Parts: sequence; C-alpha cells; structure tokens
Amino acid sequence: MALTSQLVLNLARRELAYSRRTFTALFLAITIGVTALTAINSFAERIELAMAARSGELLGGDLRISSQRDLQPFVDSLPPALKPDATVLEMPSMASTGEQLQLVEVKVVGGNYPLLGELQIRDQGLQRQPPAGSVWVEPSLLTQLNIDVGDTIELGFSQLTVAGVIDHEPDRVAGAFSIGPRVILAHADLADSRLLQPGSRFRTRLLYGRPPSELDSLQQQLDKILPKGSQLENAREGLETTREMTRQASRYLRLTAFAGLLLAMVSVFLSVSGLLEQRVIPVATLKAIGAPSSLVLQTYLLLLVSTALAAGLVGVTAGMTLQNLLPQLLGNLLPGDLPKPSNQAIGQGLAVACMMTLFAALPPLWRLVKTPPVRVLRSAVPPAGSLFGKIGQALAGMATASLLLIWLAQDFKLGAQASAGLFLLMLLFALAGQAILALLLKSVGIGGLVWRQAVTGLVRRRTHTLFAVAALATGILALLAPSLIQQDLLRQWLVKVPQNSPNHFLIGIQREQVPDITQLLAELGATQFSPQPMIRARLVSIDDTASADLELTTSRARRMAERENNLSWRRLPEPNNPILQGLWWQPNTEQHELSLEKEWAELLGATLGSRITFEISGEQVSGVVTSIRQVDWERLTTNFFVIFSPGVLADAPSSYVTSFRVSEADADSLRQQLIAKFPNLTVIDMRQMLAAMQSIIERLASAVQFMGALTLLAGGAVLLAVVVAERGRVSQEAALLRALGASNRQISAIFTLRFGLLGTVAALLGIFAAVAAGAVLAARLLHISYQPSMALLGLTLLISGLLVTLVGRAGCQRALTESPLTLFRETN
Amino acid sequence: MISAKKLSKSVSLQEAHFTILQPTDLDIPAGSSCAVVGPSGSGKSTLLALLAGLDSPTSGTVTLSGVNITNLNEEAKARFRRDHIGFIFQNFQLMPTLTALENVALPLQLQGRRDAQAVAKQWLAKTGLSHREQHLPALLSGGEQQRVAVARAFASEPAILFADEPTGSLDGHNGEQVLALMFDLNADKQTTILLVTHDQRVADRCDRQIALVDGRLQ
Repeated sequence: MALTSQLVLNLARRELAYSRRTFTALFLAITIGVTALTAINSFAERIELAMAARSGELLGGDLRISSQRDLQPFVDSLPPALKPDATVLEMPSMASTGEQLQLVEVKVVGGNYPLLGELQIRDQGLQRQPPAGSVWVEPSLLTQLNIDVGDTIELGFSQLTVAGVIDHEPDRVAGAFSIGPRVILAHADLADSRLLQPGSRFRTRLLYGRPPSELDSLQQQLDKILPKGSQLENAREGLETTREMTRQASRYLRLTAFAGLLLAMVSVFLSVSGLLEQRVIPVATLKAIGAPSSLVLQTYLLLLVSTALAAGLVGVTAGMTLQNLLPQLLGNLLPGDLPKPSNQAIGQGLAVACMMTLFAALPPLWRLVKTPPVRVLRSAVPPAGSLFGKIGQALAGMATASLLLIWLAQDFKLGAQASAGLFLLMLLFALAGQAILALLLKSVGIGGLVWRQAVTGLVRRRTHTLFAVAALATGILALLAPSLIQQDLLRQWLVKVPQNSPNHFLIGIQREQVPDITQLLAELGATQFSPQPMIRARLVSIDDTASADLELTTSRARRMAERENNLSWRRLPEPNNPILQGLWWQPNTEQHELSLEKEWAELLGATLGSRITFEISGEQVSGVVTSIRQVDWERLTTNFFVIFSPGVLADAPSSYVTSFRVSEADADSLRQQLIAKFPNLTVIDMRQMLAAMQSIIERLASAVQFMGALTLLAGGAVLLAVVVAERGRVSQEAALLRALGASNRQISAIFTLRFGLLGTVAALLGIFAAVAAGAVLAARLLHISYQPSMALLGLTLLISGLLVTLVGRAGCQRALTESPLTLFRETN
Repeated sequence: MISAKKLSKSVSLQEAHFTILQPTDLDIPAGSSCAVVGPSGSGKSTLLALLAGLDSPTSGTVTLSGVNITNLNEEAKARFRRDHIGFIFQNFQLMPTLTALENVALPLQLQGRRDAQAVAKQWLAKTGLSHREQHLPALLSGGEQQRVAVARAFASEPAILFADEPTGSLDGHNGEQVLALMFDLNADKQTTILLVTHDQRVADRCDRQIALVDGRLQ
C-alpha cells in the first residue's frame, strides 16, 4: 500500500475512534433515511408490479364496458363482431339455508368467463362457470351458514347446490371492500333466481378478449356507440380507479419516505458540520506542517463513504424486512399475492445512502478542505463567510436535495412539488420557532440563573435549535395528523350514530310487495320503517347546460354528475330534513317540482328555480327546484339527494328501500322470516357494515402511522445529531459553570429545561400543523366534521416533550460527571 | 537562511483599510536564531505567517533556503513547508485524534518516509516522553503536549523552525524545559530559528532580536 494511502487510512481510523459518537449519529441518520426509503419504495414497487402484471386480469379482459345499468338491450343491439365475449353482473343479495342468513355479493358470469387469469375452484382446478343449478362460494360463507360443499342454499327464488369453494377469483380487486362473501352463479340460472328486478342495484361488465391487432379498432367502434353512463377501459391503461388509487397511495407513501430522507439529510449535515467545525484548527495545523488539501479530502471522503455504505447496507436490510410488515398491516386491502421486490431497491438504497451523505456533507467538507493554514495562528478568527455565500450554500443544498428527490420520484413534477412542499414546511416551522425563540429571549430578564442559561443556550445556537425544532415538528406532524383523522372517521361512523336510530337497511322491495312487507315488519317487532321509492336516473342537464358541460371544480362534483343518481318522490317532507330555502310543495301539486339536498345543489351549481332534467330508462324527466333541504346523513335513515313531487315518477321503474330498527334479540329471526317470504330482498345489517369499515380504517391508519413513525424516527435522528454536535459546547459550558461555582443540580436543571423547552416548542408546532392538516384533509378530502381529540394532543405534547428532554439530557450526562479540567482539556 | 524584501500585509475590513505590516526587509543567516518581540497586536504573528508561507503578502518577497516562495501556489508551499520547515505553536496544536507517537511521526509520513515510526520513537525519547507514546493529547499535561510539539517540529530535521510564543501557555518550569530542548536541538542540528515572543527572557536566548511596533520594524 502506498504510504499516502496508509496515512489516509490511519487518519481516518483514528478520527473514527475519536469521534465515534458523531459517526454513530451519522450512521443512525443514514440508516433511518435508507430504511424509510427502501421500505416504502420496494413496497410501492411490489404494488405497482402487481397492478401492472394483473391489470388485464383485474379488468377481466382486454377491453371492458362497465355500467350500473342493465346493458342487455345494448348487447342485443350489437352486430356479432362487437358482441362481448363474456358478461359479468354483480349485485348484493341474501343467501340463506332456512336457518342461517348472510348478505353476499353475487357474481353472475356468462359467455367465456374468465377471459384472462384463472378461476380456481378447490379440488376441481381451473373452471369457468358453475354447472346449472349450482353455485361456487367463498370459504367464509360455508362457516357463516354452517354448511358444506354439496349442501343447498337459497338465493333469490332459487335453491342452488354449493358445488365448490372459490380459491382464486381473477378479477376481484380487493376483497375487503365487498359487503359479503362471493357467490358465483351461471348466467343461465339468473332468470330463475329473479335476482334482477326493476330498480335493483347491480353492476354490469361486458368483457372482450381479442388479439392485440384488433383492439384499437374495436375500442374505436365501441366508443362511438357506448351507452351513456357507461365506461370503456382497456387493460393497457389499467383500471382507472385502481390505477388512480395506487398512484395516490404511492405518492403519499413516497412523500413520507422523502420527508424521512430529507430529515436524515438534515441530521447528516448537522453531524458532519458539527464535527468538521471542530477540525478546522487541526486541519490548518496539518496544512501548516505540509499536508496537501487532498489528504484532508481523501481522509474525510473515505470516512463518509464507508459510513454511508455500512449504514446503507443496514438500512436496506431493515427496509426490506419492514416492507414485509406493510402487507400484513394492510391485510386483504391489497391484491392477494404480491410479487417479490426486485433487487433494484438494494442498489438504490446504497446509492441513496452515499448521495445523501455526500450532498449533505460536501459543503462543510469543502469549507474544511479550503481552510487556510494561517488559521493555526489565528484560531479565534471565525472563517470568512458573507451572507450572500451562506444563502448560496443553503440554496445549493436545497437544490441538490431536490435533485435527489426528483431522481427518486422518477417524476420531475412530483419530486419538485414534494421537495418544495417539504422545504416550505420546514421553513414555516423554522420561522415559527424563530418567533418563539425571540419571545423566550425577552423573558430572560425575568427568570433566574437556570431559566436564563437554558434560554440563552437555545438562542446562541439558533441554527441548530431551529433545525432541531423543524425536524422534530415535521416528524410529529407525520405521525399525528393521520391519527387525528382516524379518530374522527371512526367517531363519525360509530359514536355519532344515535342510540335508537335504525340498524338495518332493506333494499330491493318491489312496489307490489310494499304493503305486505310493511305489515310483516310491524308484526316482527321492527320500528322506524317507511319504504321509499328509489328510481335510478342519470343527470342530463341543469338549466339547459348538459351535465358534461357543467363547470364543476371538484372531482366529487364530477362524480356526482356522472354516476347513476337515486331519485325518490314524496308527498310530505321528511320531518328530519329541515327546509333551508324555498317551500315544500302542496301534497296535491301537479307541477314537476324538485327538492335538492344542500350539498348536492352546491356542488352541481343548482339553485331555487333551476330546471333539472334526468334520464330514466331512456325517458327524460324534468323538474324545477322549489326547495333545498338539509339532510343529516349521520342518521342511518333512507335519504335522497333529489326528491320529485308526487306523480312525476309514478310510472318510472322503481324499487323501494327502507331502514328499520329491530332489537338485537329479534334481529336474526326477523331477517330469516323476511327472506323466507321475500327471497328477492337484501337485508343489510349496519353493525356488520360498520365493523367492516372500522377494520379497513384501522388497517389503513396503522399503515399510515407506520410511515409516520419512520418520519418521527428520522426527526429523532436530527435531535441526536444536534445533541452530539453540541456536546463540545455543552461540555465547555458545564465546565465553565462549575468552575464558577454552579452546583451539579443547577447545571442539570439548565440542560433539562433547555431540552424540555426545545421538545415543547417542537411538539407545539407539530401539533398545530397536524391539527391544521387534519382540518384540511377532513374538509377537502374526507368531507367529515372534525374534532381533534384534546386527550391525544395532550398526550403527544407530553410524550414528545419528555422524549426530547430525556434524549437531550442523556447526551449531556458526561458534562455533569467529568471534572471541569478534563472537559476544558477536551474542548480546547 | 530567511530573507524578506519589502514584505508588507494590508487587509480591508468593511471598507476600512488596515496595514498590519509595513514594508519590511529582513535577513536571518542559516543556523542562527532570531526573536521577534513586540506588544500584542504589533504584527509579530503576521510576520511569522508571511515568512513561513502560511499567508500571502500584499507586496514583497520571501526567500527561504534560496527558494522564493512568494509566487508558489498553496500546494507547492505546503510541499516546501513539508520538506524544509518545522513549527511550534503557542497552543501546541497537536492532532487531537492521534497519539503522541503518531503526532511526531506525521511530518515524516507526509514526506513518505518508511522509518517514520522508528524515527518518531527516537525523538519522543529525546524529549523524555517514551512512556507517553500511545497517549492522546487530551491525556497529556500542557508541558508534555509542547514537548511532543517540539519533537514533531524537529523530527523531520527541518532547515528552518518557526515558533509562535512557544512558552506562552506554559508555566516557568515547563517553559524552561521546552526552551532548553529547542535550543539544544538548534545547536545540534544547526537549524535556523525564528521565534515570536513577548517574553524578554525567551528573546534573550536568541542570537538576535528584532522589535515590531505597530507593524513597523524598529
């Protein structure tokens, strides 16, 4: 080995041993950053790979037309070349054995289903459609109905044999979102079951499986004749909703990873600059006795790159292990068998470890390398650095960090937005922290020695303090905001449901069944029921503006304009729907009048006097808005956005729907007797639905909190970096205070108070930001009312304040136990 | 020998112009010792920094052992210092991460000498610190640290030794020990010594004294 290399190696080895605390902090920061990135990136990659590999399979074919209407008339009108190769109908219904009853998701398959992927039936291998008179069911239904393969179940008006258990269904996106276990029925058996009734809720899919060369022309031809309210999708582009959901989820996940990474870079910068500041005079000495600048550069590059590589390896390993936990946290919210992550994540993790370290460390390292040797004689003179230079350096640091994020996002806009957002957030935290520091400084005069020393210590090292505050607050924000929202979502759905409100929904009632069902419900002990007509309709225009041309600003409004609307009609107003504007119609009105729900009217821009046209089974029906109502959606009763005056919709194809309340003791028997007498009905038990919702929210929230915890950990690494970087100064301060006669108790109180203040300020800022972010999310995205839990906020303040105090205080322990002389010697 | 012609140093601070060293001519013969004395702020350390090539003059030239170092770039100056100059500083300025032995071996290793460790051991022995070889500077007393610095300065047997207040941080006894060591080695190796001090007793031990007042040679 060349002598210079030996010297570099020895200097590096000695530096590592001497500054092991700094390198431990550096190692931890890089490890946390790379862990967050690897865990999230490889998890997101697995989801994307699964989506890409299975997009055709999930779509069910190469092309798909989907609608919430009966497309049979459309299929009948198609020329042979355009007829679908398979059809799928999905609807909720009740399956029963006479004794047991279960809400199920029926899938009626016809043609050559499945066109893509495999439908796997246990012990029977790959299959297409169940034999006539039989069904295939998901295993959970066997348990719920206490039956076996070979037994019969009642579905609608049919008795069907359970011929097999579904092991894999190719086009099921996420089982957790369905309302009950799957039952697959052959199209030939649909008519006998009479599951399809006027006004029934169902989804139709027409599937095409064609050679790639024919797809474009087929898509163009279908596009021209596509029925209104239906969607045409192709496998190449994937499922629009699923793709959008995946994209948004990956975006959120990556943003959390970026936040973790950015915080890690901040700690690398703090650790390295703290260390290198202490090395200015030794480097000036080295240069004075004849060492070239390259020796300094090589020594520290060797140290930084080897620390980065070692931490990167640990981070990649930890990240790979953690990303396996995410599918477990999310359970069946994900498509079943995720593909294995590629090895790309390993290379990327190591590259990121080196790049983040070098990007963050190069500016202070470059300053060190450029140290003039004369500083060995003038150690008291601070290095020259103009404000312009410092701003330039900060901008260069931000630009390099942004470049790294853009490279990782592989999307310029997303990377730029993420980095701009994160920098802005940290800047806001730093500015708020600065304002609080100014206030604290004003209080110095009124406090005693402990308070004065604690506060001035924070203010003296303003940059370090603000970095720590901003980083910790970001971590607290990432962890707390999802928890606040989660609580409100659950509260909204569970707690706020009034004690005696309806607990069941009954759907699919036919008009002629209404009197009998009303009577039966009363006989069986149900209360609060009132069947309402429900008519499926599509919005055509508002005041002569076609629905497609309406100026709608939100995606929610667009969805409302495009989807099938459920209309109703009533003679008298619903007592729980107060009229906000206009007047309810006379019971015997002959005008075509409309009453709108307040939010629907606002989103679609309809006001009193607006003329709105709907299309119902090919017929157009119009009405003028004469009242706007407030609907309390939290009451689980039957409510409608749009209600017509009586008479207008009297002849439209409709079904009836009602909510009702029944005591828990009578619920099972009531459901069984209802279905035994009216097999076409679907009974939805709200308790089960709410429990399923709760489980979904809890899973999503735990995954989100998992990411938040990584961000907080990265914030903790920044704190550690600050503590380690400040150790020298803390020791000097402690030595001086003790030399001047301060007691250990006083010094201990100063440091405890100092870190307590730091933790409290950071926690307060993080909490404020989380409450604000939660309010925005609740109002804009989730449309829920928002009441952050004071207990959770208080607990966050207490725990974060305590943790920061303990970590900071632990870092100063040595300054309390060593003699002032030792501390002076070490720091001089 | 050390030679300076019309050597001066000025700095500008916030639009104000300060002359720290007025144009100075100086010749110090090889093997002799010279003390620069003067009150604080008189420009002593600036003169030493310019003569040793640690700083660049505003005007004038410095010639050391026949080489004009004024126009050398920083890296070339560093090489020159490595091969021809030794330093002793007021605050010892040992590398805090290296042991006493490694600190002494450092200039030899920079020269690429394979016998660096062995030579360093001999020099540490000459300064009476063999028992401290493996100790880090933080574990040594001030006197011991300065003796390590003296060993480091002489280990590469430089032609010229610059010393900035070599006893400034030491008590009388330790200061005397270091001075004795320095001048013994000077006599032994015929090293040219230029030292900066405000201690007249130290200056009196040199062959020649020059005084600086307000940046002007008296």
